[in-house]
Amino acid sequence: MLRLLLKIPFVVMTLLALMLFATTMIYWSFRPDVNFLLSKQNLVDYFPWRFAFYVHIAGGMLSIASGPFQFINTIRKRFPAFHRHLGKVYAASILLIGAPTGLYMAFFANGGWPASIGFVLMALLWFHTTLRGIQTIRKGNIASHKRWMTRSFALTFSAVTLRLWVPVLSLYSELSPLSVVIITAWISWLFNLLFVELLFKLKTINIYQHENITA
Amino acid sequence: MKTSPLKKLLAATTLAFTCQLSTAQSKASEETNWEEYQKVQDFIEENVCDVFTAKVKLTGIKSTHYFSRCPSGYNSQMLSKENTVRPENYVDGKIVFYQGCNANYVCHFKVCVAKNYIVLRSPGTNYMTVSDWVASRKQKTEKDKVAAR
Repeated sequence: MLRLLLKIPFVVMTLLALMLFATTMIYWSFRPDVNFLLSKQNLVDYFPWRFAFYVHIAGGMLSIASGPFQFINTIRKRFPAFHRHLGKVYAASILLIGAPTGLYMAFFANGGWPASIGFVLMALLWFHTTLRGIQTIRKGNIASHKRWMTRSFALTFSAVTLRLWVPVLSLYSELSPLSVVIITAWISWLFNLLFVELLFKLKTINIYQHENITA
Repeated sequence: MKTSPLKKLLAATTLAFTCQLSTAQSKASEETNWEEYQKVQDFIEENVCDVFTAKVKLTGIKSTHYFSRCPSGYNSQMLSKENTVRPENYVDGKIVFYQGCNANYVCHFKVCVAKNYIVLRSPGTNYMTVSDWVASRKQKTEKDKVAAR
């Protein structure tokens, strides 16, 4: 029963990740007047930005959809090759696609330079944590690999937490829309990172129970 | 000398950020007084948007649309030219309700901060005060509810 209860947060996280994947599909209509593009009407005709945007959401969709499955013990135990291949997709979608384009787009962030700095830092950390995750597994350090990849996914998941923080702060606080944009550019990933660091400290996270499994 | 990918990325970031800042500064409008523009916006925020947030509940809103990176809630959009948005001028605009990145039209406004003047208008109606507009909106919502029954 307890094991089942512990799985609830993971199931919720996976469902939210898949929900983001589904809501992002709308951008593949290539219409310039949908969702986030509505707030970027000054940039939708600027080819470098628009190109980066589509490349970024492609990378983001791959990483957010593949990430949760990398944490499932059964998959890692029974299908290590699948874990390896999906891991390569996850890492490539961040290192080659999501993080570099995210970094470029950070300079055009709504909210000006205070938000830009938040997103720049996030993109750099996203790249760094994923790269470290790859480097550690190449050296055979599974425990360290798990830690870095958990950090990496915490940053990937900031795409979800950003979309949860923004409506909460804009509807239930006295903050102006601009303040909401700036604050969420930071807390969307900072709190995620702090949360996983706390989990590491508490050692309650399930992924550390199987240190002997070859990833 | 071997440079790590992170250092290269950091260097490229710094360069791009500097370029972006200089481009943004050169594009800044010289005519619009943004301090005065902000005063007008704050006036509308306090006297219309905040009142609407407390008293006007919109119907027919899909909750899934809030799952977005755009702030939700009431906001103002100026229709008058940017450089005429000053506290001493009459300024036209519209109030919209943002549901994520989607803007839903609510009403038009006309304000003059210096004269403490605010009126609102929906399509097909005359201008009225904020309290009258809120009251008429409530009446309309009640009528819609009765009609739906």
